Amino acid sequence: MTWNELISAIFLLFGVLFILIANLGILILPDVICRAHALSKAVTLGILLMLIGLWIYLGSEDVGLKILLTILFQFITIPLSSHLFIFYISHQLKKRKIEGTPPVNELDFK
Amino acid sequence: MSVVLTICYLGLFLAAVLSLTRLIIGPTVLDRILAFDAVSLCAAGIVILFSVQTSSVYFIEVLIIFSLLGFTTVLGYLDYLSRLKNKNDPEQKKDYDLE
Repeated sequence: MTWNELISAIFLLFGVLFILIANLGILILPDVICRAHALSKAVTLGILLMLIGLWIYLGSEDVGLKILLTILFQFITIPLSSHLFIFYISHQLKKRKIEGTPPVNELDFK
Repeated sequence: MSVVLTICYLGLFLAAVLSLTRLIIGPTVLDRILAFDAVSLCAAGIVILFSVQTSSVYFIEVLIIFSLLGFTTVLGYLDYLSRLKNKNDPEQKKDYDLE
């Protein structure tokens, strides 16, 4: 195992660890807002670490700027989708507060 | 390296199984949308591992397409839900009925 493979393996393992923790958070956290919070940050970091590991493993001659483009794309899309999600939920909660119906903890969006 | 790849594959499959559990038992629709987004990101991670395993460059486009599919799925569902103002009101249900 060369140095490149060793460093790349460390990055890949940490990325998988972050993604695993994020998905565990999706399973066990109590509320839909907490679950969205767990998904957005940890998965963005995990995908970033895994892509850096791939970049180190393949070397920069073959890949070039393609992985940088992918990292940029992931950094735009994952937080944007999570932000739209939370925006929708807060809009619904505000509407319910005006209408005077249920408390914040019972998020029964159906 | 193959031991590390096996551990990474098992971790990502375990993560996808956890999110699929939330997708099945999720009490609301929004939980299911979020869980599907997480599963598609796990699929993107599996594509990265496959690219490491075959040491090939050509899976990076597949990765971009996978993440784009997950993103547009979330976008489409949220757009549909925000158009659907009140399901129980028959006046508004008539406008957004799919059948």
